Amino acid sequence: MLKDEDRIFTNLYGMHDRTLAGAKARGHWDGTAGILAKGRDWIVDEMKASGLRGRGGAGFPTGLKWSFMPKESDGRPAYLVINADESEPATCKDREIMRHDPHTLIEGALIASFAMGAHTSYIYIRGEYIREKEALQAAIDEAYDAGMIGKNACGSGWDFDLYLHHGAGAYICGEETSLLESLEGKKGMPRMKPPFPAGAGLYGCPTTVNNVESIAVVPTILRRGATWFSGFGRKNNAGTKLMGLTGHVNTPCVFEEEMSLSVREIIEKHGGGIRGGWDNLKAIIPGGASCPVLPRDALEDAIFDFDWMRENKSSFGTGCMIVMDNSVDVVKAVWRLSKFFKHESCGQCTPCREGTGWMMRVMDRLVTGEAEVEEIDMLLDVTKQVEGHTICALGDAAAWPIQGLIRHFREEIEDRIKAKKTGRMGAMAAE
Amino acid sequence: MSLRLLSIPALLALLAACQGPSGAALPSANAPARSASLAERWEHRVVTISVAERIADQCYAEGISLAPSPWSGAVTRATEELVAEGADRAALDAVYANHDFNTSAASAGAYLAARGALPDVPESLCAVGEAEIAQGSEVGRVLQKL
Repeated sequence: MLKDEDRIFTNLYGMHDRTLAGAKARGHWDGTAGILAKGRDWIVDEMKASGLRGRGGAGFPTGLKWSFMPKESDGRPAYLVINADESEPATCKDREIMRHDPHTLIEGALIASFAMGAHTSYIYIRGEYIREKEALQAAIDEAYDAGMIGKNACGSGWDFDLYLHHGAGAYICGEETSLLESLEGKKGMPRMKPPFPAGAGLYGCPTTVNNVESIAVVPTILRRGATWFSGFGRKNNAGTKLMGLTGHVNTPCVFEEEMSLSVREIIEKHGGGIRGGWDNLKAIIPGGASCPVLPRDALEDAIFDFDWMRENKSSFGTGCMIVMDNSVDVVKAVWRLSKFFKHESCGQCTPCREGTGWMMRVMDRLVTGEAEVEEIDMLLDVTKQVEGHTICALGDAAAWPIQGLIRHFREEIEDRIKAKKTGRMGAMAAE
Repeated sequence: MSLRLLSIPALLALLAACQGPSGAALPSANAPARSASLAERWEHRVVTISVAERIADQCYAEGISLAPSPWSGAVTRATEELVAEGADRAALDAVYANHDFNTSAASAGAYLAARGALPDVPESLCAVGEAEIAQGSEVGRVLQKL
């Protein structure tokens, strides 16, 4: 388990003072001007060396992403946009940063913006996060008043403005290009890539979009060194990470832990074990609704990091795990996710607009057992037609949970269909 | 006449009239006396912050939010504020451990209901919030108008 002295987030549960004074007392805003004085290249190189991978779900190397920004301006301003539109079902880690430890994010925004030559940064916060918005705005105001940001931020000579923008509650606006559209005041619909945001992003200017946690960990990494951070976790899965446990664990929680521990260790240590014991575990969804479900059989030696999950046809995502015990109707659980994605599809791409509804309707029939067995493969085929054929990843996100369900629980689906046909449906499927 | 046909101010006036001139049956909006026990002071503060949170949750779009505080959450905030005022943390921990939070939730609901807030009408909470801020009441001081 991670030692207290290695925790980046020292006020995750709001038990301490979240103001600037409290943050400084816990070691934040310490020598920030000195970090900036080391220069842009040093910061980007150090971030690359740390091995930090984006904490929003995709896991793209953060330092590498920053290096895509132009070294010299062609006259256009550069922007850092921080994605705080945390809307993935079961993921609620960034909110703990914003409401309890907001200065980690603000200091990180200053350093990251400097590293990318951006004098302005925007935080796009989820519409439902009202309490978090209050806390974050109060912290931003405080930082301005204390000269930590604004003109000559921290006495570094760098001018930096930070704006907090409140979203309106659309899941799709967590996708980076629709977030940019929304920030520009347009309907939140994804943009085609290329051009990538680093070339033409917000208002057509070079932009990097990073997750809240990815930015909030930057100051501590730079203070303690890339080697310290990369010392946690397996190769290519470095660092500590905010993770979450929801569902049928005894103590659902958000916590900071080092990468690459076993799934079982995480559930036992932080979640207090599965309700009814490990043998009562049915499946997990590792890191958000879009990650394919994994059954217990696959989890005995499972490692909770990016690479293990990818190698086992799932995804680490945001690291916020949904745990399901044997009481769960897993078919219905995935149906509910299908319904969510249908509701949240922006409708721009035909495969997604039509496919999410089609998939949900077949899932309806699988839940009740009214489908034909052949429809299972037909559904799988439709997921393949949606996957990879849309502008953004929502189509993939809608397809993957169903693919995972069919991969691991085909027998359960078939049994239900057969039971329905033979009149033995009973309590097998929830109403 | 249906209640739906009444405007919010009219509803508030109607409810105020129902309370009678003294309002004696309403939960007190005043801070507990200095002689009050630590448990009473703590609960009063938890209820006050909870009421403000309920208003702020519904009325962000109306420009009402919680005033900045180093602490979040009614329990943590009430505890830390009293500690800052000199209360003993261990004693507060004991109060917390023995507290019935259903009572606090009921008190917060009663406080709002007595001022005309209707559970199914978010706007009525905002009217209460506006009034509390204007009066500079304890609840009003936890809130701010943006």
